[in-house]
Amino acid sequence: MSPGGWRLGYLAREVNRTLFNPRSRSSALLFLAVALGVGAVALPAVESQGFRSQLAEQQAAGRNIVVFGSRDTQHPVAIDRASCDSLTAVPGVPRSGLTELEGMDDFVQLGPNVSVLGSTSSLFPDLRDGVLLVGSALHPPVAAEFTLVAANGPLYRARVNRVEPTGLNSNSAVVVPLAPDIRSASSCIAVLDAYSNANQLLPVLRARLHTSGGDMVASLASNPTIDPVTVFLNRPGQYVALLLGLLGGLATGMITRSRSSEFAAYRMSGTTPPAAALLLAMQHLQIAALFAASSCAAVIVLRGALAAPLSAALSCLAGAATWLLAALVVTVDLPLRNVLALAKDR
Amino acid sequence: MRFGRRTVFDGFTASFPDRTLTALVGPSGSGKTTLLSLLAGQAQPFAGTVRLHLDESDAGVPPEPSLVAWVPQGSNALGARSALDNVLIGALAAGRSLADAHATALGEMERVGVADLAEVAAKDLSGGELQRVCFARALASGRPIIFADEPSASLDEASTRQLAAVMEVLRSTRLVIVATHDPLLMHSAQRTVSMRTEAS
Repeated sequence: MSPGGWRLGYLAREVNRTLFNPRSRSSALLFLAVALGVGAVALPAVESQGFRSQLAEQQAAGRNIVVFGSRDTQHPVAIDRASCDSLTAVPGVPRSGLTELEGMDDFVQLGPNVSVLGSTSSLFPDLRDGVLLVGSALHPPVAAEFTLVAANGPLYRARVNRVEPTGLNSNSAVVVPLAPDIRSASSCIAVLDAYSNANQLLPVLRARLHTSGGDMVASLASNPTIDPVTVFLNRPGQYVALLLGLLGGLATGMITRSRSSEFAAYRMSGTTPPAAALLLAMQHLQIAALFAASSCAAVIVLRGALAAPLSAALSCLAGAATWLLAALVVTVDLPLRNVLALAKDR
Repeated sequence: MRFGRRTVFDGFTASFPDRTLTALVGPSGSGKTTLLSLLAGQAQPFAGTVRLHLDESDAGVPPEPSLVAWVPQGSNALGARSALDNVLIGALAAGRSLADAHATALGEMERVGVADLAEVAAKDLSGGELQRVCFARALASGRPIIFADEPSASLDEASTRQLAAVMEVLRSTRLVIVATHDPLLMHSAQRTVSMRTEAS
């Protein structure tokens, strides 16, 4: 290809020799592209950290834990065990199962009057290992697994349970497997993943439960007024890459215009307007590509800190496109201007 | 030729032969730069025609900007780039290969006496040196026409003398028109076209 006499490769060479020349004003644009590219990812990473910590706090407080129980304790509901366990088949529900308070018991290591909670392995997966789960608030032995001694004699293999969210009521209890012959209980708990919308899922879950006896009610263990997921999805910060791309493109265009008398050197030497336009476009493209490359590199480095790395990368690519477009718009007239007017433009 | 209500040229006729250095002289505002723009096809006359005869037998064609290389008033150069790089863009714009353009650029720099400045950044050159680099760039472009718009406007006498010497070299190579106030450059020209304002 030979745009107006120039060979395409030599136009690219011109762009490189101008941009990568440390004495050139345009070289500042390279630093700007790298700085804004990293900034376009660093800001969402900081936002993501705040979002994650807020989410973890609310999850620990019982966010997205749905408790199904009796409307009237005088007429308790009986929720079918299999239907409660199978709520995990619903997307966004990693854990569910019946819970039933089996009574109070005395243990040598834990003291008297400890709550004993019967539940299923679909809600407490560690129960599959044939151990009892001792709530971390009961100050159990430091060892991860130990022999729990009941005051009246029996010995049990036990494991310290992880800190569970409020709503499961297991941190101050010993969780034991629900006896196989128990087919129903008055309480079923579903743990939704952090990104599910509990209010949307609730009717779906309710419809899957088989009940008998009294009426069933569903409630959320915690119902915060501000949902961090909704806030995160609507955050203004998601447009930061586009905004930085726009600012970078405008800066590129303005700096290019400020050296339009230098640009005139090409036109004065016989470079045609199409070739001059191509030269400018290649320069803008190279700077925008550097913005995209530095932001993608930042996404790779900061991927662990980003809530949505792919989304951040796509935003940065859109930001780079915005950069290119803005720079082109600001400088669109330069290649077409009268050579003498361009030369005198300082 | 008119700008708004102002008539710049009225009944103007002139011809500029090839391989001739013509000096356009006249006071500021007499239309020297405007005439160069017309001749280069950068501006269109309100009435009348500008014709370029590429050989003696043809009927002439409208002027084409791509046939003209310019030497500006002041310095339109890539300041951070070397003098050689600045001359190279003229040769590369003519479609030459890099090696060929390199040889052409160095040859033209030799011709105007700036070959020893090839690796010096344009922003580090004196005004006179830079103007000679701009002439070398125009020559390297291979364009058959060179227009120079007051090239000595910001030069001292010594630099202008050097520029006049360059003119002597150029004047038999192609069509060169220089708009100037400077007597030294006028003396280098084979022809002079005098322009005046209505007041003068």
